[in-house]
Amino acid sequence: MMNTSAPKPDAFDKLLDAFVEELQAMSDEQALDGADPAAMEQEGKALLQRAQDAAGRRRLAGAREKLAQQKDSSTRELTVSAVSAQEARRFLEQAANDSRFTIAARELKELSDEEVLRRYAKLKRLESDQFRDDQS
Amino acid sequence: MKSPVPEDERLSPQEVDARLRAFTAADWAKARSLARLAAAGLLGWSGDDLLTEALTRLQEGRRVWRRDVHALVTLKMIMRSIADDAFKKQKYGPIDARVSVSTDVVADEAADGPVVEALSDQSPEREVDSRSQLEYLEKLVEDDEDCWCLVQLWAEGSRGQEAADQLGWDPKKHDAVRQRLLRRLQPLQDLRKS
Repeated sequence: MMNTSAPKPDAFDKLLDAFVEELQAMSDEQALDGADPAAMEQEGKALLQRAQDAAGRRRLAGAREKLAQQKDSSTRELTVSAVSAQEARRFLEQAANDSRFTIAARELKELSDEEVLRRYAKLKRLESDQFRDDQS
Repeated sequence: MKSPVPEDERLSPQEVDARLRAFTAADWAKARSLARLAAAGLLGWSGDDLLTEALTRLQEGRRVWRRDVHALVTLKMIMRSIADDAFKKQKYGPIDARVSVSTDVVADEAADGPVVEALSDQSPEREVDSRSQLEYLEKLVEDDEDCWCLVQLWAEGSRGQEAADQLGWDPKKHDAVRQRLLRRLQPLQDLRKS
């Protein structure tokens, strides 16, 4: 069952909560405690800029990954849908001689075209996954 | 798992950006003080690292800012969550955190690994992490009895005037001790980076 209740605050949580209240109640002068306001503002803005840059990089990386996944998926679908049962059967016959896959050649003759296409798609997927693993 | 915050209760990315850009020097000073405290005892993280990571997650939209919640409260919650994840990484990651290799972990690296979201925050591990952060802080102020007492009372849940009353302090003394504590936190990041 999922836990939807608010977490029970521990000692450090309580301490942080108290500190937040203290900070909120503090005057600007107390908060700065002698620091140069202009320098503090500049440093704060620099932190914000670093965060913005990092967020941008992460968004870009996320978008690239999503696009790569989408391309991969489209390629697979295109490949599978473009072959005939005869071509798929020929591919599986060759795969039967490949030590990476376990498929008996004699089985192929007894399979329906639909099943051949299904196995072809599955094998292509495995092949593609293996290729990706080898690349990474 | 927590329920998602309804769309109309959270600030939009533009609103988040506008609020952060409107921070004054004092706002930054407060946020950085809070970050230093939240990073206490966290190996390889300075307060600024933790604050930058929290700001990054807000800008990414990975963490939300509830419309009715103060900036410091929002940042505190995000930084606490990042600190929890960092503790988990230190404990269960491939690198032995007790070995001094390098403490210069950049904030970006925090997002590289899997982010673990606990179903319950009341795990024994979290209690241990919390205790170790508190112990770190206690050690930092152990030569200042007033600061030490204030830390104890805050950790027990007393706040503001209530804490001052319990210690028999007038507002002036309370303010003075609090300022000393703020200054004690200051070297936290420098110590870790040295």
